[in-house]
Amino acid sequence: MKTIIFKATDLCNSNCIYCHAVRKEDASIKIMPLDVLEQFFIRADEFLRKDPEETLKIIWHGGEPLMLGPDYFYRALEFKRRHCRETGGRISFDMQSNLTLFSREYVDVLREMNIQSFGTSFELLPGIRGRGGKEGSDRYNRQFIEALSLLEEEGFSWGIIYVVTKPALKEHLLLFRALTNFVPTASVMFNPVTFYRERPDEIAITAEEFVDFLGAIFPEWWRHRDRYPGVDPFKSLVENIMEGSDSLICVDSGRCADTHLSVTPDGTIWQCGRSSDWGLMRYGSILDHSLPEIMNHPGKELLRKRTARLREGECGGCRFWDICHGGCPLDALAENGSVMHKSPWCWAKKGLIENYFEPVTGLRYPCVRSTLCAGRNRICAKPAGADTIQNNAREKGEKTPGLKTSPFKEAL
Amino acid sequence: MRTPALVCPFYPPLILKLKERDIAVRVNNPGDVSRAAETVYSAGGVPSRIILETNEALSALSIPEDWAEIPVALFVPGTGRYKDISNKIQRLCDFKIHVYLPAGEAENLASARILASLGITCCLVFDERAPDWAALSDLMTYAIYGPAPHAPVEPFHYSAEQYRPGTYPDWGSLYFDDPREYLHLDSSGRVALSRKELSSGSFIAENISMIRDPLENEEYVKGLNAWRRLFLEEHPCILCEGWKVCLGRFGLDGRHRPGCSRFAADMLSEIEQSHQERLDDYQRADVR
Repeated sequence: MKTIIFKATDLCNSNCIYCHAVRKEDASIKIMPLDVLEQFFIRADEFLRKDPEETLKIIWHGGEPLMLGPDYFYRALEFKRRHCRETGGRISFDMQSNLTLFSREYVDVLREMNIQSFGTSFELLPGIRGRGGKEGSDRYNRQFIEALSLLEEEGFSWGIIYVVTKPALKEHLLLFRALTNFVPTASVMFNPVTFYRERPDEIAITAEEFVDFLGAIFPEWWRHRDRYPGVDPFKSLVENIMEGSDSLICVDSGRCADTHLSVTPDGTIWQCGRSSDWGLMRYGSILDHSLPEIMNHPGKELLRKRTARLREGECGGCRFWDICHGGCPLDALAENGSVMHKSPWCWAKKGLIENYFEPVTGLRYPCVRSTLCAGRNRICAKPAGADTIQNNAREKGEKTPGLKTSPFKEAL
Repeated sequence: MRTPALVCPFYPPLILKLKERDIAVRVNNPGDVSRAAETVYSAGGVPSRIILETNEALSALSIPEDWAEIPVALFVPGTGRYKDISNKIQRLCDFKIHVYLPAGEAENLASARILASLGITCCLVFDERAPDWAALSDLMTYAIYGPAPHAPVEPFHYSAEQYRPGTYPDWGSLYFDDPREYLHLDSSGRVALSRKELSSGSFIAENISMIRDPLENEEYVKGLNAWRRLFLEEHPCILCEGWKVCLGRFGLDGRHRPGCSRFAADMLSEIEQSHQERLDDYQRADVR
């Protein structure tokens, strides 16, 4: 599956302090013209015809996609119907939105697009999200909360991506509690704020700070992981480490060259959403190039070589390689001026596991006998600490949720 | 969505205008219970509940035969002497009566347990008086886990029944305080989202005919999940471990902390455990 971060607009009704999309200097076209939108679906059809096994997930992003208005989405559906008659079933839509503009006018078209859930954001700390200042944050949060009521009544679900900034660092547990209380499904993902050139002191954080932020939350999450099942990166970490899942987010997959693209309003194609925000890794335009051509762009080839080179070089022997792959190439570029290095944020995963996950759970990653299971399970034999976790649970009269269906448990 | 029932004062000219609606009627005089129900039927509606709020103890009330088919929410300050209730127990059990007792009165916690053990559904009312949290905790455990057969003790029974990971068992509707289930009317027919807003004169419409589809009413939509407003106020309750089963209701705007916080966290743990045990039971039944 290819994921296309579809930035049909750079416009936004907010001005969040860490957002690059609304601060682009060279974006003269703010809304994708309809002829470019139509061309995108022609390209999508062309791409899917060439590979009958392939699918496209189009994530409406921005800017704020709801700035486009419902009619724009109806036009997109019309173009999809017109140009993707045989391939349309292999195109799906998702949306990342601040939701403050969500209204009943959007309900029908979003349902027609089969969008059932939204990725969104929420911030309790003042002055970070919204038009600016505490007043801006308050107004933003009020609109957001009102929109959520309608969204939920109409049967849509949602989850939060929380961007960890410097003011958030010392509020770790309070934020964890408040956010998991705020989202019924406790679907909350903590991501670090990242920058390319300028790193504003008042909000920028380091990988070490991010690890300690997560580490302060992890024991609480681990104790109540059934109560807060959707909290990331913890949930994914447990799935990767204890349940043998191979599913990794783009920055950890080492495969983003083959899985991700982004399109901006003028039809320019980029490596991903962040690369387009940062003005890096531009591959051409959908007006001039087909998607297969783009997938063979030298920039994509470079990323593929990066994975191989890191495994043999900087990341050689790292026990976390299978779940990190050197991290996001854009972070490497920001730090070192080249994508051919590992990301400085790889510590975020390594430090979380070494300093917190392993000591708290008593588990060790990866299994020392991994050759015996041929990599099927990340922890396939009785790992160090397995007895500890079982005994601790037994003493407390607890079950060991999360182990129920894992190969780790079977091995026990 | 389901059309909310309407909670109105006992004012027949108003009720008769509310054709074919589910209606809950507030009365203060026990003698008005049957008359209120009849008025709702005359309007072609269904009495969702007749809410009798009285200062008399349960022991002092008579439960007439004509309440037999009327769902009654009986708000009393206490039960009074048991020897004066014994002759009413059969009717309290057989009729559709729920007894509401203030949780802040220590003896009411014991009374709720006794009534429940006799088969009478009870509902604790959380007001400005902080309950004895330890005694309440015992009652909660009895309500959720008590092995002997007993009637529901609310809001514990409801919370345990409705609890699913990833949802909030919002028990506001037990107290007619959830706009998804109930809208409140004053005698002139103006519509409010809750009794509190009714009392403060905060209305969302001049009359119910203006709300054909509630989701089209902006103020109605804003009023759903009113608990989320606490997140705008940096309210201490939003950090509580027991939030999911409380939504700020035990705390009464934070006045009952920290006792309420510990209690709610315990309640959440017990409900989670009870949920898990039920799942295990289903699984075992499946295997058989």
